[in-house]
Amino acid sequence: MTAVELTDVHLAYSEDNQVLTGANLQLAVGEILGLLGASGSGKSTLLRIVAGLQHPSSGSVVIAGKTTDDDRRHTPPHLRDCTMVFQDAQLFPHRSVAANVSYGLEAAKVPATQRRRRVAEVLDMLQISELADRGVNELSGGQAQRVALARCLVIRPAVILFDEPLSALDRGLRQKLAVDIRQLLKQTGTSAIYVTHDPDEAKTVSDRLAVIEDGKILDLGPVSTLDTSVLSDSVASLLGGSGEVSGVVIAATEESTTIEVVDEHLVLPGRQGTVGDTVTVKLSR
Amino acid sequence: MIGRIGAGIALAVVLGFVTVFFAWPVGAMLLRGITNDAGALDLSTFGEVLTTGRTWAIAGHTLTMAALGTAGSVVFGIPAAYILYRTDFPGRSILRSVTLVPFVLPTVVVGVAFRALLGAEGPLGFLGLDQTTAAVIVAMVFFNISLIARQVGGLWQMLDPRTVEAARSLGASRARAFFTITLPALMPAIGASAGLVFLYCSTAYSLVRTLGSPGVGTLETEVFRQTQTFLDLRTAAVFSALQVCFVLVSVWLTQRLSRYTTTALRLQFPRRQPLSRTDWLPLGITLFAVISIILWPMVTLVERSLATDDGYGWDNYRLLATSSGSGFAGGTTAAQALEHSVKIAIDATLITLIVAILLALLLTHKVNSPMIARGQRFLDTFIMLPMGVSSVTIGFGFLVSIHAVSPDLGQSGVLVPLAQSVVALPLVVRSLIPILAAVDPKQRQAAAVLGASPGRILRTIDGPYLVRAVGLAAGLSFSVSLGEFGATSFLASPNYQTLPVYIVRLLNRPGAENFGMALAAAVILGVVASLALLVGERIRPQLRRTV
Repeated sequence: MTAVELTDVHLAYSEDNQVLTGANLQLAVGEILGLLGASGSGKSTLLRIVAGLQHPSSGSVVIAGKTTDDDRRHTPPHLRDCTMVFQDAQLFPHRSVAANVSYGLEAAKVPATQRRRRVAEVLDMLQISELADRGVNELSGGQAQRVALARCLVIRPAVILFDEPLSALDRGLRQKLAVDIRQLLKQTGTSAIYVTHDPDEAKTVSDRLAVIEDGKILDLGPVSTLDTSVLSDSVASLLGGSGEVSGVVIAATEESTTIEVVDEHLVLPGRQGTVGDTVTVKLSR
Repeated sequence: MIGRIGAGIALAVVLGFVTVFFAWPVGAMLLRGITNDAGALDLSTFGEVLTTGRTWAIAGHTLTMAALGTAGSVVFGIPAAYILYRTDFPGRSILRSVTLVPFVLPTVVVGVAFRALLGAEGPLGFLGLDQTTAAVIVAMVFFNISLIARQVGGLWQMLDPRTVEAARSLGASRARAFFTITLPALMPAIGASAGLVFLYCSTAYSLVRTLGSPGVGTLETEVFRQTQTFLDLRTAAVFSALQVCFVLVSVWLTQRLSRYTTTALRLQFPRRQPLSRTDWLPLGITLFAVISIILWPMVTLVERSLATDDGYGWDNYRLLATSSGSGFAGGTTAAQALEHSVKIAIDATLITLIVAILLALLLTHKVNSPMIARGQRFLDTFIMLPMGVSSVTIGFGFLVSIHAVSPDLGQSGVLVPLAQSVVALPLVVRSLIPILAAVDPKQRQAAAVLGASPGRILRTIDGPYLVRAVGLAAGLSFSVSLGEFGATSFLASPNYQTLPVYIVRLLNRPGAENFGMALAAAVILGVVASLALLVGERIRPQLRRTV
């Protein structure tokens, strides 16, 4: 069973304004797909279609084995087994952090005792337990995105859709959170589509990359075997040339530092940090 | 120095006006309730009134009508806010224009329209609602749907739709997302506007009078009854004091409610979405409200005013120029009453404009001293009081203060435009302030360092903005004065009636001819009042852009 399957999805606002012109996509269970694309290419629109916030003009969408969109039906967003992390977190301003995280469980009518336990667990997992009673206006940008992710993880969806979640954060924080997001998704076995315009972030988070171009999805294959030399100029430019990758230091001695990047180990000469640090490695051809 | 002297004179004029024509009448009214004829403290009337069952029945009736009027306005106003401010569809602007009708029409006109709709000859006569409490409540809803829709819609159109989308993607149904996300975000606007509506509903004297003062009446109609029927000014004063308490409580409630769940909202530039199929419920409620509560009475008023025994014609309008039905007005015809109304409204507009402009200048003037700034805030709150203290209190206050000291002045008719000015003042000041506040203080400073005197700064910097606002303020002031009934009903002499007073008198007299004339007179009053607003809006000169 696939987590998400899009078949020949079209979306047109008018004759002259066609956003998607036959997008196809398959996301395996537990897989993280990084989706890149130029501004206005329709990558956020694609996520909104999967989430049920927008209807495709034609084509079908299947989420966790259930057809949510086809020619006859459009399942409303709240009945789909997926949820979304928005660009600016979109936390509910009149609710505390814990109440924000608990929101989806309340909607699913999970009993209060179970709700409290699950909220505490997920806050602990994201290392934000101390923020539980805070108002969301007291949070930093990074904290807000952690809460937004906790709010999604707690309802244990089959798929989480990320719509440029870190774009408003500074670079250092962005790389650190990208690594954390990947770890959490892998820890919970959650599938994800991760839309971003930052190729480094996409490579840090994802198992596989895809690019949206001319209303269609171009699968670039696994990050670990990505061969930029065969890509067209436009796609290569979306990937920022060879770019850089970030990983966590798992061993460091005076002679070498080993970092884990997308399930692969990379050994760098000399001590580049201490265990647990996030390190960014610049690549060049 | 000259600026300070000017400000001092302006302050003196404003304070003098507010003291003599507002503080004194209201103070005298309150004193009348707690002192005996010798001027000594005597709370016996208070005790008598407060221990009477009828008093509490009247208070309960006032409260119930206001609460139901508010609830009805909120129930219809919230869907209307969504449809008119958050969605987009062909015909939306027409629908929105219709909802503005209640803003321009005098209360008496609306009252008459509901009498036409619900009366025995009206299309809804079979419901038997004419001159009932239910009719008053529906008319209150007519007036206040738009107020709720405007205030709530203004906030709603700026809420980021993605917050609701986030809730939907977390598993919330449309209804759950509305009740748990949208509604809490709208609460400050709903609370504030509902408080204001409650205030209007609990001081809807002219509406209640036009619709026949059903049941035991309200605190305001009781003030009128005690004054005019029993000539018992002390009891009237106690009821008036109760009315003021009512107003103070609702103002306090409004402030509490608007503070409730005030959170930092995510606001964006107003954005509308196309009407979707799932919007059928709010659309249906809005169309019902606009068509049956707002349009239907208006159309019926015009239709009934033209109805004759054998079809349609101008008979009712022709009668207005005759002395038919003028027995109570010393032979004054309705046409003459309209002439009086216009003359009085012109006087009232001039008085209001002078005081309002001075007040607006004083309130928008940037000051450095914290003490003067506090004074400005106090003055700002103080001049809003006439809006809360009902026009009945002002009219009655005039009667027991200025009129009591100088009966000749009272008879001369001078007091009517003055009382109308006090009623219109807060509204007119409020319409002037935003435009004057738009003057960047740095422009004044720039003019000053270039050698302009305070007078020249006023003329060349504030002047163009002021001129722009004056047209609108004049239209508003004229329209309010023309339709004013509460204070005027206490002060207009029998020989110098205004048209609203004349209409209510006609309504209370038996006979189809009197009713027909009331309908025709109401149409004319509505047209003249709306025209005044429209002309005020049109003649407003535009600021020339120099950059």
